[in-house]
Amino acid sequence: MISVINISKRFGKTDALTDVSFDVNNGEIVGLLGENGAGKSTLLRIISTMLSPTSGTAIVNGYNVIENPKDVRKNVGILFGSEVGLYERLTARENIEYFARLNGMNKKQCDDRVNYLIERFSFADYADKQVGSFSKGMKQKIAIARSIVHDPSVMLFDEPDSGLDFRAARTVFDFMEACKKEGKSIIFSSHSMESIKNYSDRMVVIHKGHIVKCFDVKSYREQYTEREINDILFNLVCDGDENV
Amino acid sequence: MKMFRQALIIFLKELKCIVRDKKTFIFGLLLPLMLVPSMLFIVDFSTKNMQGQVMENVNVAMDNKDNSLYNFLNAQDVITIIDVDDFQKALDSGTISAYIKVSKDIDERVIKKENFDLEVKYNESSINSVMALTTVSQYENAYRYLIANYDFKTVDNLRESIAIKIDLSQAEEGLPKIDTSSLYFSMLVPMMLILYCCMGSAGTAADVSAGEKERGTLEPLLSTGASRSSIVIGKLLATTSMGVVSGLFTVLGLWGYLLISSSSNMPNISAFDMISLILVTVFISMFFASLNLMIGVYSKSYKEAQTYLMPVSIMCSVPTFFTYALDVSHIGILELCVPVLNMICIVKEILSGAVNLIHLGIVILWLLFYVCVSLFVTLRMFKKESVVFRI
Repeated sequence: MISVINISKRFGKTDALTDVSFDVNNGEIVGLLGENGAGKSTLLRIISTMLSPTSGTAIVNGYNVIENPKDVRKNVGILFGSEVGLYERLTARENIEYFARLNGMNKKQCDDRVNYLIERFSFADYADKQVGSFSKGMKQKIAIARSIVHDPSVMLFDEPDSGLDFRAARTVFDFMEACKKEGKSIIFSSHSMESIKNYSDRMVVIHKGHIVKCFDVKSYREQYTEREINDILFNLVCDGDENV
Repeated sequence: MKMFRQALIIFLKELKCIVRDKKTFIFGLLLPLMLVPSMLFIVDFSTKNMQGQVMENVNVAMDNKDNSLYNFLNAQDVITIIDVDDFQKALDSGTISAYIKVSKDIDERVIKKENFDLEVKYNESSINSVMALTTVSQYENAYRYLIANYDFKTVDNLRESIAIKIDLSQAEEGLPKIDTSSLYFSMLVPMMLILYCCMGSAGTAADVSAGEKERGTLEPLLSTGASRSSIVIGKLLATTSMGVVSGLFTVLGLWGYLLISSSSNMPNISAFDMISLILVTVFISMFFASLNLMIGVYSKSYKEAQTYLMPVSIMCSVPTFFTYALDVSHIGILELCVPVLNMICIVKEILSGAVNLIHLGIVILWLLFYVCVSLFVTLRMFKKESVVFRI
């Protein structure tokens, strides 16, 4: 469960986020849609405690991002799209082990968890090879495994399909669906309308740091055609200022 | 305790990455091991070569030929005394390498065991002339040695007896030798050591800090349970290790060269001096590692880090030139308190075999102080969003 409460973030004279609030329930995927620079990544960085909000806060599984950042990090897994963020000179196994150890696992827990993840994501064949020579899809699988090595109940996906081919992107979205079935709370940011429409339960449209629309995707699909939804989203983002 | 455990995990991971990188191995370990011996070999070889050329023949002129010094020098195969009208022109044109001016009554003074005037003029802008001065000085010393140790009854007896050929290589130990290689040694080695302690950790510092930002691995790392302090300490340990190893390989290369070198020009370094040198190298490396990491943490990308780190390396070698003519017996507290200059002073002191333990202690304390300041600043920066994310 994630509660984003009146979060604002200012970088110098620029307001990156202004009074952003929404909730994410367990087993729910909330899609953050917005243009580049809309504030999506900033919000995910605040929820994962990498950045501090200028005002407001977020509560993750009962832990406040300002008061209990370490507890929040124990509950959050984050996956980046364009940059998988793997150490190229380490093997796939070592990359995952490194993050497991940093998340406080002992040797035995670490070995068990890493072996489980290697099996779950089917990369036993190349688990002990250095990741420098891997394809983007292979790297993405390892990045996914790494993001859930500490079994977080909240998952944040920052433009997970960015720069991926359809097969690698599908791996990510299948994983996201699996997380949902496991009851995890998920926030997924993207500037792709299609991805957000297809995979989120609720959509939060963010423009220039403001939430311009928050709606249930299923009910929208029942009311409007695909084309109409696209037009609504396009107008929200392009004329966002008028809708604030 | 948890912080140090996490720092250790980060340190071991960074070490693994360093060891697996061939470029780091070559530039951080192999190059310092080979560079100092190679440079010393070239300097030693070229010095010997120049000395050899000068030892074969030195053209000199004298203002007064009717004396025992002329007879002595004329008896030497190496020295050719030639007549010139204008000695300054002859020196400038290279016709002669040195011009010797002596008292007209030199022989009478020698008989009476009195002092006499002897002046050797040379062309300061000519390497040949400078080297010839060494040879002439050695023969002058040999002459002085003979007149001081033998009794000559008359001027004729002096002029006749002293016209003997001297083999400088077999001359008595009392004859002083001008040692040019040791001058290069005392300048080159501190510079190379300081440079390699600095550059050895520069690449690693840029890679583990700015490189991590650039590759997108920093954000996943920040989202783990590791505290920012443990991340900085782990990275500092890795950077320091690389700097220490690079510095020690420089010392090892130097030691190896001294062991195998047959050159009499190279100074002897005792085991105690070598241990002091290793100790100082470790602390110097720690200082540069912390400084380099601070710069790396501030930088947005690996390239930007390199842009800042390169001038730092060059600036570190500048004080070496100021200390070129430094007399190690006159190192004061002021020199021991100025960053980098104090490192060079203590290295020179160790290499000259005159290590002062109080000086060593002062420099090590300063180095520890610099490390603490750099670490403090790095930790502060690493906790600032504007630095980590360069927003």
